[in-house]
Amino acid sequence: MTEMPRRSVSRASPDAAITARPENIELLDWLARLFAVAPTEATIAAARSGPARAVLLQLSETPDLLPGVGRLAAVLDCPMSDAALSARLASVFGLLFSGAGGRETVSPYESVHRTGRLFQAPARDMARRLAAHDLAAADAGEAPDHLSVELALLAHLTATDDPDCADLLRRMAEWLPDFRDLTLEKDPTGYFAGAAELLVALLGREQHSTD
Amino acid sequence: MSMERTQELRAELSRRSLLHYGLAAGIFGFAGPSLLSIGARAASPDGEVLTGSHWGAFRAKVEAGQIVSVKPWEKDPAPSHQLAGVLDSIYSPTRIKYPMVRRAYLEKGPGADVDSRGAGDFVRVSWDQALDLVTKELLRVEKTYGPTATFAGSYGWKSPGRLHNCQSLLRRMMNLKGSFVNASGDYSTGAAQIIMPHVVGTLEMYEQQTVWPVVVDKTELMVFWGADPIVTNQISWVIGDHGGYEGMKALKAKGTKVICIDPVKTETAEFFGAEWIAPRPQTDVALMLGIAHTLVAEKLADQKFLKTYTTGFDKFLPYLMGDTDKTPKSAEWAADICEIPADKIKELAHLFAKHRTMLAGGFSLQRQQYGEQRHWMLVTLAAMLGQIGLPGGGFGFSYHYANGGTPSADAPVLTGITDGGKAKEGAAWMTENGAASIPCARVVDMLMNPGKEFDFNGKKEKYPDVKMAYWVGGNPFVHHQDRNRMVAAWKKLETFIVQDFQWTPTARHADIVLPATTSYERNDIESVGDYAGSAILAMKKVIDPVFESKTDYDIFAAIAERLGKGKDFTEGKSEMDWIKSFYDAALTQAKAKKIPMPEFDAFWSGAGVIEFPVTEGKSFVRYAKYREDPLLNPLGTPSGRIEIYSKNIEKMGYDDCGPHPKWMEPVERLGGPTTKYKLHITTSHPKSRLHSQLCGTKLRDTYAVAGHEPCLINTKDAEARGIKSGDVVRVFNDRGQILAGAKVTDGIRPGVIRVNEGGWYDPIEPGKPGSLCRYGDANVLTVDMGTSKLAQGNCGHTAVGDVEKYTGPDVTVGVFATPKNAS
Repeated sequence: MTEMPRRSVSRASPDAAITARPENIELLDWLARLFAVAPTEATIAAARSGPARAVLLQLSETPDLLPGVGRLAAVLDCPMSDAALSARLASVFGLLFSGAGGRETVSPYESVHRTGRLFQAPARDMARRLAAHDLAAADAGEAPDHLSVELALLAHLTATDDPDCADLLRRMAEWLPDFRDLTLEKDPTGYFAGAAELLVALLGREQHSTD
Repeated sequence: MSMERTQELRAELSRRSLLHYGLAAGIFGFAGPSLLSIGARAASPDGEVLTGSHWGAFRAKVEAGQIVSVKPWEKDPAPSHQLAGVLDSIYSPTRIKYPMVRRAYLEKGPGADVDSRGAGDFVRVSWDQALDLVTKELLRVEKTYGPTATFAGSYGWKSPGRLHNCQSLLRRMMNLKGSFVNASGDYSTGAAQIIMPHVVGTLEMYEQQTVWPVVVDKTELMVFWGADPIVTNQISWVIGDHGGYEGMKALKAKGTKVICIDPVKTETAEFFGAEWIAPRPQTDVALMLGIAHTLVAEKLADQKFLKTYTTGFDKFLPYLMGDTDKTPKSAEWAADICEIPADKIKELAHLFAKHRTMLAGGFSLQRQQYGEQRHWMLVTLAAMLGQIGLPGGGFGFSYHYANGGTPSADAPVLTGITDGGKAKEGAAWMTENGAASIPCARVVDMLMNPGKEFDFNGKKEKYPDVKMAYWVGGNPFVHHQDRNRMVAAWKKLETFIVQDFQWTPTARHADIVLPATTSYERNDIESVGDYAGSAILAMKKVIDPVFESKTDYDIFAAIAERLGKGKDFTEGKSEMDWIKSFYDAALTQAKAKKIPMPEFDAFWSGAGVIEFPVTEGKSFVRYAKYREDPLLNPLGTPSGRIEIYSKNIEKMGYDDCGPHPKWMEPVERLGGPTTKYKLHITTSHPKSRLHSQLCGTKLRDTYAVAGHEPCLINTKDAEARGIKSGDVVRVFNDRGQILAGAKVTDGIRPGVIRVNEGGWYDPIEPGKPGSLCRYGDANVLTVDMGTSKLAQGNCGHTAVGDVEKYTGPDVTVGVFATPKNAS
């Protein structure tokens, strides 16, 4: 497959909603991947330099996005090598999101935040939403209400101007603050906490623009 | 951005649709496969599936491929409230999603950075990677160190099911690989199951009791001694039948007098409105001796029974009366030790002798140092009362376990997959195989003392030098004693593999973690009721495996395949082939006995359950045949009679288990002559868990205090320490420290606190011995020593310590150290 050409970052108003800034769709997708798999050296290197850096800088100009972006950037700016930082973050990713961390786990599943269990009504609802668009989680073993799957669908719906976008956005805005708060409490690095903070702020902005 | 440019970019995104990123990198420079795929997944049909668990049979309602609710099987007479936890365990956030390997182990190999075990730093790997790693390590350890370097004596309450018996499957694979170190016995009855064959000729602990209908009809006085059947009969080794509750309800309705002897006013005591007698823990033998002495002193002992049905009472009597040690074991002597007034002890002797008395002893009595003595002395006491073999009289050790005493149905025996070892009579899970074997509770001793000689039931053995352990269907980082000793010992392992469905404390201490399904994500078959055997149940798969979990059978078959033994492992059979073969074997027996049973297909696709009638089982009286004719129906002891004095044990010459039951001071006890701490820590079975199972579920919210395992404490003891209900407390002794949540009550005797066993070990500094356990694992505090040289059982109820209001820092926040360079 041919690699897509990189684009320069647009300078649209930082107050604009996601739909008004297509690169934000890619930002959603980036966040979806950030919470889907443990970071590698390559993903950290990519996040530390290039257009992504510029996007983060631009986002940091917006007061409500600054805390999350700042937290994320602080981690990326640390003097650790890409390899060392990705190893550290991969370790924390496992602790936070794989379940191995016991009481320190932050579940990335909507069902858990709403009911305390996996695979509850939100999972069934997400399966229906995905099916309605002839989609499914690419990882067949993954629950459809994983944050990353929800974000990937949100990005897709946004990119395709689908009217279901607003509803999905509303429901995500309901449970993600809880996820953000727990991540802020449990993440010792600030990387995932910053990403969660940024995500919630971003979705909040979008929700206000669609209310 | 211009409208035109926006639409152009949007169109591009739409084309890619975020589904076709493939290896493309967007503005974030991120490349990777899409998180979504095109094509909706087919939904499983909705419906209701009957299946079963340790907590009973139940119907699971399925919607869109997920279990949305469970309800007890309509034939269950007393469903357990723990069933809600079953649903929660399937969908617990602590499910193991993928095969995972400890980072240091993956990067540096076996034995790398063992101090990081328990810290939770795992890397996701593919199944192929994981299985290759496991196979390679099995072969490396075997080649490098020989067959006694791999421990597969994995112990624990595995899930029910005759095929996916993970422990049998593990040993089946190990036997095909070569050999391994096995373990014998169990943690439940380690001491009693070794002493009882010397005394009555059988394991006794897992035998049918005089059945409840007979007890209800004939028993005049029911004594639960260290037993709490209202709590513990919720669970069964197979599918719970809960028949014991019908018996207990009937006994209560009849108004039969019940006495509960226990440091805690148990649920059973509350249920019956029983008389509560609360001796000091671990002093039961003294109390029994005081009663026995009174029986002799007041000529209430049944000499005819002793002469006809027992041997060695004449050798025990001089000890009882003080002729051998100038210490008569009188009621007054006993009162000083157990803190039950002498008059009450004498009253018990009178009551026992005057009425048809059933002495129902619990397993807890023997999970203490010198635990063998409790059951031996209880049998001796029952023999002195002369009611063994009479309807409603004598003793019973399983009224509290798996609904012992529920009448047995006329049912065929359901077989299961074998592990390749030689079956051992008395308990379905015990087989004899392996290059070496240790008593299961001595696993830490084994790791700490390779090559050291140890005694066990008349034999001398040496501990093997184990380098690798593979654990399935168990949670030793909760059920084993003296956690800190264990944490240190575990560092000696080069490789620790755990196969489970949930991130238990044990899984968190592993090097390689393999995700297994729960029982509800696979097909299997099982009996209902350990003693009742009232039905055979099709344990149909309710939902597809969650995440990447695989069945135990598939995992071990895959490892066997990599070992070149795949065909030997599977015998060419599929899951359903095996299940049908077990059913057909039962069907053959049923036809011979003229018990009606449908063919397999009708059973499996029909109701999924076949129930059996109860006929002769309704009137079973334990030891009735022996009593009727001891010559024609002798016991399995050397003398054929109940042995109050064992010449076999005498020959062993042990200093901690003599030839007749006797009182010995344990290493520590409440009021003991050399005991440092002032409180006994009792660690009985919890009401809302099966040992540690379901601790990781929402059920915990129904009993946790301030987020911690509850600690029952008497009002006076609490006042003396300024502790109130709801306070977080630190329970400690020289072995360790835990946090717990105080529950102040008069339902526990002064001088005793209770922290139930089974609370998940949650160290504030994983891998560091001495670390504070945040949640409340009682086994941080218990002693890890053999009950005696005879049985080497565990001493999970031997612990003293103290408690104080916790004033340290909040332990739930900031437990992870922030790395200097990443904050």
